[in-house]
Amino acid sequence: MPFVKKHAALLALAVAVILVLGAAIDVDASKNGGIFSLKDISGSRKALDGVTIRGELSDGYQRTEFKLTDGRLDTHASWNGQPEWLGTSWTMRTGSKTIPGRFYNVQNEGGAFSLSSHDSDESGSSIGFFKVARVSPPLSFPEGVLYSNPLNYGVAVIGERVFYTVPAAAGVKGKGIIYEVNFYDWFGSNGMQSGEFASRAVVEYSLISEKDSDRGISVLGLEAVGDKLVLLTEEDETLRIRSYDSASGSLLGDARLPDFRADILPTNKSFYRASYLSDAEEQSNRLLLHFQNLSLTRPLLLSVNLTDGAEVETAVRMELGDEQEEDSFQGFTYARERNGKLYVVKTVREINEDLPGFYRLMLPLHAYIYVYEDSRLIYQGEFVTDLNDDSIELATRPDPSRGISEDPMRYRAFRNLAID
Amino acid sequence: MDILKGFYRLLNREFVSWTPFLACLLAGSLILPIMLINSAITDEFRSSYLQRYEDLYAASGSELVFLIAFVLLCLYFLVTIYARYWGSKSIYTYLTLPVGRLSLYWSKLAVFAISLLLLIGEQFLVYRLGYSIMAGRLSGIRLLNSGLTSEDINFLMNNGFYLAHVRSEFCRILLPLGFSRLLSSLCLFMVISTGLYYGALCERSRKFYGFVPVGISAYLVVRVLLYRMNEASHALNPTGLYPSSLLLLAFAVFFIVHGSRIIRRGAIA
Repeated sequence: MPFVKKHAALLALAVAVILVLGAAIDVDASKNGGIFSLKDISGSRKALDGVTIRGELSDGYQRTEFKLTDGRLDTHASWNGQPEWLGTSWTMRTGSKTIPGRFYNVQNEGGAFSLSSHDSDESGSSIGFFKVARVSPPLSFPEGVLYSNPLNYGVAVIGERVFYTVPAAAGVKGKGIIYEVNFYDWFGSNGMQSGEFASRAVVEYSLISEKDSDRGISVLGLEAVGDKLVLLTEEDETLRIRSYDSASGSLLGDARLPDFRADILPTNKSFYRASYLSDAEEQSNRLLLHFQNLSLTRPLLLSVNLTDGAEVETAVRMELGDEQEEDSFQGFTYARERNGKLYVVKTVREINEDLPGFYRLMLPLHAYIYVYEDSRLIYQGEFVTDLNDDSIELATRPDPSRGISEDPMRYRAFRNLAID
Repeated sequence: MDILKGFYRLLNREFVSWTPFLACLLAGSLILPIMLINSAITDEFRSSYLQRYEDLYAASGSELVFLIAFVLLCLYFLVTIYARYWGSKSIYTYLTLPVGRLSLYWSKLAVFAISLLLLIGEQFLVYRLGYSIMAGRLSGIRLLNSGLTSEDINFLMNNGFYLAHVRSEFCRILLPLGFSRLLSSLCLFMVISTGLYYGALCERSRKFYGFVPVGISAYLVVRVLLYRMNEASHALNPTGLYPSSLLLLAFAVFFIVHGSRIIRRGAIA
């Protein structure tokens, strides 16, 4: 005991240091304790040769980065000193796409369509002043016929130039026009301004089907890839994809996908939802399109090559089966055409018809890789992760009707996907 | 060498005189949180709502126990300073001892720092033990309301302790992740221990202007702690912690330099 008494302070310091260092080592060592692997479901992993798929599974506090090169998976786990805000799938989307730092709203103001441009911050919420532009297309809307999609599906942006066409539903009379619009400051220094910022009609197109003059076409939306404009319409039960030069307005290409019907609120199970998602890849001049169908189990993925006119390279009508469905709440789909194959990373949710609607959002998510060649599935694999552990607290919540959160700070999600 | 030997002897003597209090404090802040966590888990099962461990820990009151223990330790530190002026008035003996007045200063400060470090280190033990208790109790349960059992769902998150640690603001302050956080926590630690001592020395030597820097540093400590307790909600407008850390460090150095000068000059007699 005299020894302990003589060196009590030093011994205590040693104990304290051991406790603190032990905890630090313990936490650091368990950093890589999460599960992250690739499980083959069908086909050969050889389909992944020649591509690198990278991304991360992250929340605001920590992340696991992964890199899948030629079918070999590497992961790296790390934590954040300062927690990061990562944004949600709710970040302000303009129609089918997210425009970095900006979003557009469109309103019908008694025949004139008014576009407002909002700057958005990292969290996706609107900040500061906004700008306004107006167009008055020669359209008349018969009783009960309006639009085929939310109005901002008609917005396309090329650099600082903004284009607009009205997503008119089939039956709307008049003439379809793609405008290049000019914005002015709302309540700018000169007060309200108008007239002096006239918009320019770039492209005119018919709203009547070419095959059957009694039927109209429905305009789904306008997209931009590089300096080309892409008009998506549904006519004669096909998806028509026309590409235009954004400066001259000349038609560059015209492609059709047969056997396609879309509606804003589909009633028939074989219909697709008109509110599609798009992803433009400028380097390779491609437009990736993603349509959900009513039952959420048979999505349509399209890769359109615009290098030489317009060509539907890959059209995949996916079959998710009876046990899982697309997740319109948190799910994501990322697709890229590489080496003549379409690579898709996608999360889908399990189905349980017995559960009430709210609880279904707590059912497990699965992250899959699909590889399609000539529109046929040649490989499917699953990223096996701990992703679903985050919803344990939700699954046991006594009253989920109070709302469930998609807090990106606390819930892991796949982010920053890239396929090279 | 003699000075160091004297300091070392004084340090251990001081520490031994703290041990009865310290033992009670450490025992209390080990047993109480474990009991609190345990009963919080029982409450969870009754309400069928399983929170994540970091939320459970905060909700159980264990963080509050740490705060109380921390305040008690600070108070005890002040008591040991003032006790030398009461009763036997041992301060006058100490000040005339041949060990050097600086040893007196440093030994007291070191004993407080070691005690604080022990208390903090113990929190990690509590956090770990609490997690093990929760993990143990989560297997083979049936939730009373929903009827869910651990066979339906694995209630325990894989690699959950790591996640509970990096997602807990409490742990992130005590055991920081990354250099800027580590520096910030160290500076907080230093300024709290030196500032407390400096305040007492100023009061004893009737240098009341010393309360001004103590007050400013206390304000800074509160600001930094408020930020770090809510780092997640500051994710959109994060502030660098280096300026505040350097300022705190400067205060700590000032407290040490001026505090030890007060002692050396015997102004506290």
